[in-house]
Amino acid sequence: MEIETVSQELKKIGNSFLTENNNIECYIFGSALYKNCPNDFDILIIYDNVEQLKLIKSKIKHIINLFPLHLNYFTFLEEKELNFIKQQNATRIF
Amino acid sequence: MARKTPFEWIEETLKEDRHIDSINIINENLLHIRKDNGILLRITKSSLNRYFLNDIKEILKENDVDFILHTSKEPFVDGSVIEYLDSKKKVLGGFGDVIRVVNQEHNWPYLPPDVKFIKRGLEQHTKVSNVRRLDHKRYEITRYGLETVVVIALNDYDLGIESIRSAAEEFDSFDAVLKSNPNGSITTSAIEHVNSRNIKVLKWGELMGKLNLKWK
Repeated sequence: MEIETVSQELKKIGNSFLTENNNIECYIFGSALYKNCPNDFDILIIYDNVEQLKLIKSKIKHIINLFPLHLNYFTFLEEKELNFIKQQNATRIF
Repeated sequence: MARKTPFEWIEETLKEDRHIDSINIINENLLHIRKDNGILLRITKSSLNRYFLNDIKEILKENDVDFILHTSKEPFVDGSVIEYLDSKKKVLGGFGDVIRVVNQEHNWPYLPPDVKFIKRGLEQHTKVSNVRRLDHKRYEITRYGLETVVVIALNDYDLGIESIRSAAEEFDSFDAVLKSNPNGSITTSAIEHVNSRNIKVLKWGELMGKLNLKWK
């Protein structure tokens, strides 16, 4: 299934962040979790600062060219304010 | 990495759609979908990240189609492209737009739901004399006896600071951010950020009210 491929590709990026000591989290939510052929993959990236954001955007670029990802970026503070993970029933990728 | 091509993706998604009579991948750049009302939808695809008038003319020179599928998620589309395609009764859109065009009677006219809502709403406003799309996100709103304003529509469910930062980087200038998705919220960080840049972030109802008044 495409969702597994997308998750695997994102996990590879997550692993590279482990070695770089960055505090970034990635989640998937929306129709991709229950549809075989979703129009796109809703992805949530939670970050601490703009430098981390630049880094993950550069790393994620090649996946965007392969799969229709809909990326949502929030700081940890914003996620807490929105309660986004719980509201969207998002599943953690890394 | 095993993955479907864009046309295979559409074929898979639409294979049980009751509005479709047949779907044929003619070649790697041409897909034919015959609707159950007999209308043929001819689709080509393009992976550009930015579309200007010359790009579209080249694409249409290669394949005379009704619909150009952009395979990148949200490319920049210049206003000249929007005007040109409208004059030729053709559509440039993403995967979701293909599905919606298939499910409407005719191939054209078509506007994405959020654009249709914004354009119609602005055009019906009593203070508005003209609405022009500068690109896929910005609307130039000319008003009777008041300043012309440019609004950028961001359709995020929840609008965060990064969406506003990215919009400011990608688009020349705008006077206000419209949160065009009626659901969800605007984060405190996003509001603080626009305030610091001396622009406004408005929900639909707030924009409608603001258009009656002098902007600054």
